[in-house]
Amino acid sequence: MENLMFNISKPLNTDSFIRIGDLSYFEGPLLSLFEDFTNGHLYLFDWVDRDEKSNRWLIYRTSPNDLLQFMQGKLSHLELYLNRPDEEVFFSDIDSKSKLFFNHNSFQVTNLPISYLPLSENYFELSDCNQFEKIRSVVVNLLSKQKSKNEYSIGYRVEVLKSSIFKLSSYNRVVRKIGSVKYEVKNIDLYNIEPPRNLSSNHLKFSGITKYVVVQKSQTQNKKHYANQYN
Amino acid sequence: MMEKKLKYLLYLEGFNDCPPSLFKEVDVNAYRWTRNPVSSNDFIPLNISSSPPPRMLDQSDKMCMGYGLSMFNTLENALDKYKKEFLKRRQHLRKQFIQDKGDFVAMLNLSKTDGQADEPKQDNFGHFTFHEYYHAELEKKVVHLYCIFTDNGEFNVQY
Repeated sequence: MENLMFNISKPLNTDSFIRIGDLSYFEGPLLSLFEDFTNGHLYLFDWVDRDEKSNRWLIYRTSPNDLLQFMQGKLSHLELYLNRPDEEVFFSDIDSKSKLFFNHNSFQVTNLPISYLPLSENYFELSDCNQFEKIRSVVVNLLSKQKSKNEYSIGYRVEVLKSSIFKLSSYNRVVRKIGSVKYEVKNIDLYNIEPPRNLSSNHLKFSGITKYVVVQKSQTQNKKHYANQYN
Repeated sequence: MMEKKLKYLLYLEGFNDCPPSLFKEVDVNAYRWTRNPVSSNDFIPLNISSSPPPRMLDQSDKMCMGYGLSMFNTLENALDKYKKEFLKRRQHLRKQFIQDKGDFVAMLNLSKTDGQADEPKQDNFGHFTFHEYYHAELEKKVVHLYCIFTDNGEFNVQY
C-alpha cells in the first residue's frame, strides 16, 4: 500500500454513520454511501488500496445534488470527488477481522497520492449498484428538504446530562427515528465549548449550547436550533 | 454414490436459507477467472480466503454468496466482465486485480455431483454463484484455458 501522510490530530468520527448502500459493488463494496445522522451529511467510502491484511478506504463528503447527477451519469467519479463540499479527505485501513468500519480510526489525509484519485472515465453504472432505489430515494428526500443552497433546517435537542457530558439528539431521515450521541467536554469553559468533532463548525447551534448552559444552569430543556446542513 | 454435502457447511448454517432454495444442481459448461496453471487455490470462496482480505465495511458484507464461487455462463461474458472490472480500477489496483483473479478464463464442465448454482443473471454478464459439494475438485473439471491478455498486455480479442 502507498505510504500516506495524515494528520493524527484530525480524526473523523464515524460512530454516527449509517450505511445507505453501495453505488459500486463487485464481490464486496467498491464505493459505498453513508449518512452522518447527526447532521445529514453524506459521505462516500471509496476503496483505493489494499495489502495482505487490510483494505484502504478514502472517506469524503458529497452533496445530494452532485450524487444525484453522478447517478444520472452527468458527473464522473473524478468530478464527484473534486466537487466535494468539504476539502478534507479522510482514510481508514479496515481489516477483515473486526468487520465494522466504525471500529477503525479514520484520519485526515494531508497529501493524497495521485494514484488514489478516481478515474475521469469512470461513471456510475446501474448494474454495479445493489441498492439503487434505496439510495435514490434517500438522496431525493435529502434534496427535497433543501429548498435552496442555504436552506436552514433540522431541529434537534441538546441535553446536559452532567456538568461536562452532553447528549445531542437529531432526526435520522433514513430510518425516521431520533438518534443521539453523548459527548464529553473536558476542562469545561462555559463560554467556549467546542462542538463535537464530527459536526461542521458552520452549525449555529453551538453558540446556542453555550448560551443555554450559562443561562439555564444545566437544566434539560428542548431547544430548537437551525443550521445550514447543505453547504 | 458420493455424499452431496456442501463445502463450508458450518459457515452456511449461520445464514437463513443458504444457499437459497432456488439454487439447483447443474450440468453445464461454466467459465471462471483463474491463474495458469489452475490449482485448488483458484476455487477458494472470498469469505474463506484471507488474502486478499475481503472488502467488508460491516457485517452486512458477510453474505451467503461469499461462500460460493463466481462463474459466468459464456466465455464472452467472462471476458467482458473481467475487462469491465479491470478498467474500472485505478492503475495500481489493476495489477492487484490480475494477482487476485488471475489472467485466464477456465472452462469447466460442471456436473450435478459438483454442487449447486443459481440462474445466470442476464443483466450482469451471465454471472452466477456456485456452491460446491464437499467432495468436488473443480480444478479437475477444467477442460480449457483461455488467455485474457496478449503478450503485449492488450486484451485478447481472438475469441
